[in-house]
Amino acid sequence: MYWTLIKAGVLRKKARSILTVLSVSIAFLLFGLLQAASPIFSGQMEALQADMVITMNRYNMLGKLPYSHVEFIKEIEEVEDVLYMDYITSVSQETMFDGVTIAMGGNLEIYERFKISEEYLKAFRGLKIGTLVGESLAVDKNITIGDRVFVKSLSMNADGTNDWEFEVVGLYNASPKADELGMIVNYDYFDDSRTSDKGTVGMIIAKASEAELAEDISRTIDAEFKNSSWATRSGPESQIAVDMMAEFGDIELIINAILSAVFFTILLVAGNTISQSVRERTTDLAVLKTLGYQDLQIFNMVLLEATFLIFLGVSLGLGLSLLSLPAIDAASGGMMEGLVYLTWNKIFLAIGIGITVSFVSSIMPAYKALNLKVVDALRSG
Amino acid sequence: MSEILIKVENVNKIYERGGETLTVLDGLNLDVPKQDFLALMGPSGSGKSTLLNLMGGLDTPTSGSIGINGVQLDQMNSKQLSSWRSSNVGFIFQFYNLLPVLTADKNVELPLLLTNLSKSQRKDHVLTAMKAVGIDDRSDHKPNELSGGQQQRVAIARALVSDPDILVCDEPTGDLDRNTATEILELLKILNEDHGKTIIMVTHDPVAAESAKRILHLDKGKLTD
Repeated sequence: MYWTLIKAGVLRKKARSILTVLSVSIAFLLFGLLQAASPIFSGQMEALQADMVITMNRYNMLGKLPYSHVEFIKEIEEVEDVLYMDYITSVSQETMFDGVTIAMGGNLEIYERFKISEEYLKAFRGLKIGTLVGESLAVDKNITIGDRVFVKSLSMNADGTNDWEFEVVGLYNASPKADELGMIVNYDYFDDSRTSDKGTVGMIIAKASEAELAEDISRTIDAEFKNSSWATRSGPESQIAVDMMAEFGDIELIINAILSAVFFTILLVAGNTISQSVRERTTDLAVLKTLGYQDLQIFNMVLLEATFLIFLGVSLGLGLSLLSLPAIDAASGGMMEGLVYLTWNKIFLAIGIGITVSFVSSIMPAYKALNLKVVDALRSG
Repeated sequence: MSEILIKVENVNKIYERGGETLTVLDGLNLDVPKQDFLALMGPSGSGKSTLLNLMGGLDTPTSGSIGINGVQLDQMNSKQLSSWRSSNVGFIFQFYNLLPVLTADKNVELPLLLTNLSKSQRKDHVLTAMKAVGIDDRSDHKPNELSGGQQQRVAIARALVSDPDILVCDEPTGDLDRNTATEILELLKILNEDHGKTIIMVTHDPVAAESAKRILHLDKGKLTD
C-alpha cells in the first residue's frame, strides 16, 4: 500500500525530488569523504604502532633535543630499543627531491612501518654516505641502487656549502605509502658533517616492551625533562599524531562543525521540500482519507516518503564516497593506503543521521497531514 | 416502499467561526430508501454539501443521528468512520480528484490497497470496475492524458471498485460539457438501476437533477419539499 503512495508522492514533482536527493547525497558524499579522512587527523591510522613512544621538543614540533635524551630513554627499563632521527630540510626547488630526507640513527628495525631488507640495512650501515630511498620516490624519480643523489639543504656542510651528496645503497617500503616519498641517511654522518645543531635530534622513537607501558614511559620521559630547557613531549605514536595535528587546530572539531552546518542546512532543505510537497497535495491527501485511509496511515506515508527520499540521498552519497576511496588511493599512487577508509561505525553513523534528518524534517508536515480535516481540505482544494 | 438505507434524524450542524455561530443544518430529517437516486439541490450555503458529507461519513453532526444500514455514524470515531467509508461509500467529485502521477488503473486500485486482496484479485476488481464504466481501454493512461469525461469515468470506477452500497456525488457533472455530462448521468442511472447502487447527488444543474428518481431542495439548512 505504502509503496504506491510513496511513489505517487515522490514522482509528483520529479525535478524537486531529484534535487532533494542530490542535495542530500552531496551532503553524505562530503560526510563520507571527511569521515574517511578523519583517521589522518585522529591518530587512528592503521599503521600507527601502539608500542612506539615518540618524544619530541615540547614547545616546537620541529625543535631539537640533545642526544643525551636518547641515552636517558635507552636506559628506561621498559624500553626495548631506541631509534632517533633528524630532518634535513631541503630547498626543494634546487634539489632533485621533493620528499623528506631523514637522518636516522639507532635501531632502524624497531620501527615496523619501515620495511628494510637485511641486505640493504647492512649496506646502509657499511657506507657513511649511504642512503635508503623510499620505493615510491625511487619509482617516481627513476632512482636505482648505486645512483648518487644530491640534496641542497638549509643545513651547512663541513665544506662550507649547503650541498649534500649520498649514494643509494637500497630501497625501503613504508606503510602508509606516503612515507615512501623520502630517503633515509646515516645520522652519524650527517651530525658529524653539519656545522650547526650538532649533537641534537629532532625525534626519538622508543619501542616499549609492552604496548600498555607506552603511557608510563611517556610520563617518565616528560617528568625527567620537565624543568629543563629541553622539555619533551612524549606519547604513544597515535597520541602524538593527534597532538601534531592539533598544532594546526582542532581538525576534528572543524570537520564536525562543517558537517553539522551541512546537515542543518539539509534538514532545512528537506523540511521545506516535504512541507511544500504535503501542502501541494492537500487535496490528494484529503481524497485518500475520503477513500478510507486512516489518519495514522497518512502520517506514516509522509514519514516514509521523506525517509525514502533521504535514504536515496544517503545511499547515493555514501556509495559515491565508497567508490571514490579506491579512486583516491589509485590517484595518489597508493599514498593514501591505510590513511583513508570508512569504518562500519561511520556508515552506521550516517544511517543514524539519515534517520534523524528524515524524522525531524517530516514530523511537522506529517502531523499536519494527520490532522487534515477532509471536509475543509476538499472545500479549499 | 423500499427498505430505508439512510435515516437522518433531527440533525443539526453548527459551526463556530470567528465567535459567530453558523447553523448549516437545522433539525433536518430525511429517509433514503435502498436503490434511491436522490438529487439534492439548493442555493450555495443551503447545507447540501454538508448533508452529503454527513451521509458519506466524512463529518459528524453537532446533534441528531445518522443511521445507515443499522450503523450509527454519529457514534463513530474518526478511525471507525474511515474504515466504514472504505467499504460502504464511493465518492465522486466535481473535479475528479485523481492522483495525477498514477495511471487510471492505479487510481482505481487505491481503495483496494486497504483490503487484504491479493495483487491479482485487485487487478480483477479494477478491470471489472473499469469495464463497468467503459474506460478499461485507458487503464494505463495518466489523468492528464484523459478528457474530463474519461477522468470522471475513472473516478466513478474508483468509487465502484470496493462495491459499496452508496455512491455520494458532489456536482459530478459540474466540470463537464453537456454531452459528456449526459453520458455520465446515464452511467449513474445504469449503476442505480442495474447495479442497485443508492446514489445521493448534489447538483446545481436542474437537467442533471432530472436524471434522479427524487429531487429535494434545501434552503437555510432545511428541506423545503
